[in-house]
Amino acid sequence: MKELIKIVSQAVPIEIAHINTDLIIPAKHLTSTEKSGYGPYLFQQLREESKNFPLNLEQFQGRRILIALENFGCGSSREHAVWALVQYGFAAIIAPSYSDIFFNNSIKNRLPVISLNAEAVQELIQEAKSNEEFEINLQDKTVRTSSGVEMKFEMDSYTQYRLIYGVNDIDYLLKHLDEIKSHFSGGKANE
Amino acid sequence: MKKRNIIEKIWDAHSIVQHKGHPAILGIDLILLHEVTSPQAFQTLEQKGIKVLRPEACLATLDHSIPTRVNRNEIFDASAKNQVQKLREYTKTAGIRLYDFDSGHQGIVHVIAPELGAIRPGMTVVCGDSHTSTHGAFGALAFGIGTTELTCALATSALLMSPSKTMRVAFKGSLRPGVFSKDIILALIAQIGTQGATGYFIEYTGEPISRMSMEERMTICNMSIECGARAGLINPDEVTYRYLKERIAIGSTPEKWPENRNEEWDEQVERWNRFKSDPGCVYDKEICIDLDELEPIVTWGTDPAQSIGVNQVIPNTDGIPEPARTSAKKALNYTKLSEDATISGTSIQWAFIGSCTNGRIEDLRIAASVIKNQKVHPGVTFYIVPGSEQVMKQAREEGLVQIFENAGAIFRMPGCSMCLGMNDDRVPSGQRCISSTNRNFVGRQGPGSITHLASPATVAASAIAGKITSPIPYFSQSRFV
Repeated sequence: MKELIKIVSQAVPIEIAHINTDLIIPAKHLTSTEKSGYGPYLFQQLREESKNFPLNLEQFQGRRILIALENFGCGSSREHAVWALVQYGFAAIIAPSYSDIFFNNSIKNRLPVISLNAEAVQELIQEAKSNEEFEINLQDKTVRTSSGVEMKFEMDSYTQYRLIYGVNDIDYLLKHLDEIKSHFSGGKANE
Repeated sequence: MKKRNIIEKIWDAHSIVQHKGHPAILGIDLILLHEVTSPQAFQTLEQKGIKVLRPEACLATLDHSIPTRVNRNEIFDASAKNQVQKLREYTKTAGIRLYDFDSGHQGIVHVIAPELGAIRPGMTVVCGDSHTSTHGAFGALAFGIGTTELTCALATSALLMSPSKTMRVAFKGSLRPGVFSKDIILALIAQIGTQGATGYFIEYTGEPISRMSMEERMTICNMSIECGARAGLINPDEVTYRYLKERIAIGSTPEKWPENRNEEWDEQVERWNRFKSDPGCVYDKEICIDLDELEPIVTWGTDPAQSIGVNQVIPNTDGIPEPARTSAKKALNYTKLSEDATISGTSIQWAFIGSCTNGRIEDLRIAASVIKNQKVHPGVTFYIVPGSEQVMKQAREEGLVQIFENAGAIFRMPGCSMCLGMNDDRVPSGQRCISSTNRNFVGRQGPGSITHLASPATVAASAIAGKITSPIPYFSQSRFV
């Protein structure tokens, strides 16, 4: 798999806290049995609600980094939310915090979800509005902008490794199938 | 030996491989499936040529996208129909038991799994659904996962994951009549916020929990995710064992299920008891909540933490710090309510009892006790949707359906129904619904719909009044004076 080190793009600020996965992709689109086709419905409700919603504005078209406020991706476990973000064209998210399930789903789809404190996120929102170019570097765990802002972010080494090299859970687990089978036949389970 | 809490004990018993600095391989005992998040997982397995490792350790049903009309076999929405058909095909090919329409056990997956006796203490349980936390009521480590993780679980009965931190939520005091476990969990969410337990698994403890039925415990554990916790557990006790014994005794669990070991009942109980948290064990975080003064709770905003006592006034946003203030203002704008106004008295057009949170027999009994010999307000459409075919049957046998229908409520077939706006049951745009469900997100019950979360008692009392109302008078003796 190709290494993913840098994501370079301008950013879209969506200054809303607690964006839940219902808002990211409404349930009415969840009757599909495919993994693709969700991009056009990303944030459908918010886009329909206001013509000033950032994704409706000319200024923010084609940008691949999304910046949001705290607790992004809360609510339903639907992985469709991550699929919709990726299929719309986002390659990374920056926010102060994420829900656990959304965070997991994102990492497993190789969508970097970067956590920075609320103040730092506010500063980056201003950078995004000023059309600065962002570079998210997964190797040295730093966000840089064309105006000279530089911020380090935390990420555990396993998550970092996964994102860069695209580890696949299922292949990893299948390699350990004998140990798993012996767990279930040996009666260790449920004890 | 280190004193451990129930979460740590279950984790340790299921951790198959654990290398330092690397997530553990965690064995998964039971996988629950429904039509929405599963087909893509089966599809991936098919493409990779991988079989489901332990089909006997899976349980599937139809709940999210199905109609709740009587003639529900005919699904008009082509996409939903396809989804249902796909689940039928995939489960058949894999040899997974599917509780289909009229099997006697079809229903919301989080209602039927416990009712089939499939959830036992000490188990690990997953489902592509965030309300999987429900099953923590049995002392099981149960949590929602996405489709990629579901694919892994089906293929290997295991997941790659890191342990969460542990949080103890200790309750004390007693509930006043008319206040229920739904009000407790809403109060907890309001206190710690929708991300108060992100990164944690919760254990709920205290006298009030010990006194609760399994149904009440399930309501609490169900909404753990609404404060950010992936799982919420309760130590198993006599109440748990009595429930399980009845379920197993009525033969709802086929002998060949992996949950049924060749063990005498006493041996099983002894094994389950070993999962209980050790006295003196520690948690990463602890909070305590006194229930003596708790009122029936109702939400005013668009997240489950935005709630107040039914007799309180909606908070003034000036007193809320940013960014919560902006969220609160936006929420009030959406719910068409004003700061400093009372929530009680707000007119409603819809009332809904059902869902994995409050669609169990006990919830219907409470609703029936309120609505008996009363009439639903003419301006209100009141849907009552049983959580399963079993709940439906029991409600009929106990005469509850008669009570609902005499009052003018509409009793429907089992499913998720109006909880999430992805089937035919939706609240029309601009209309207001009081609902026993778990999420009051913008548009959750249909585009433009307004949701107020509350207990089944509050929903029933409000449906009669035609406006948001406290159920307390129905539960105090004064109503008979």
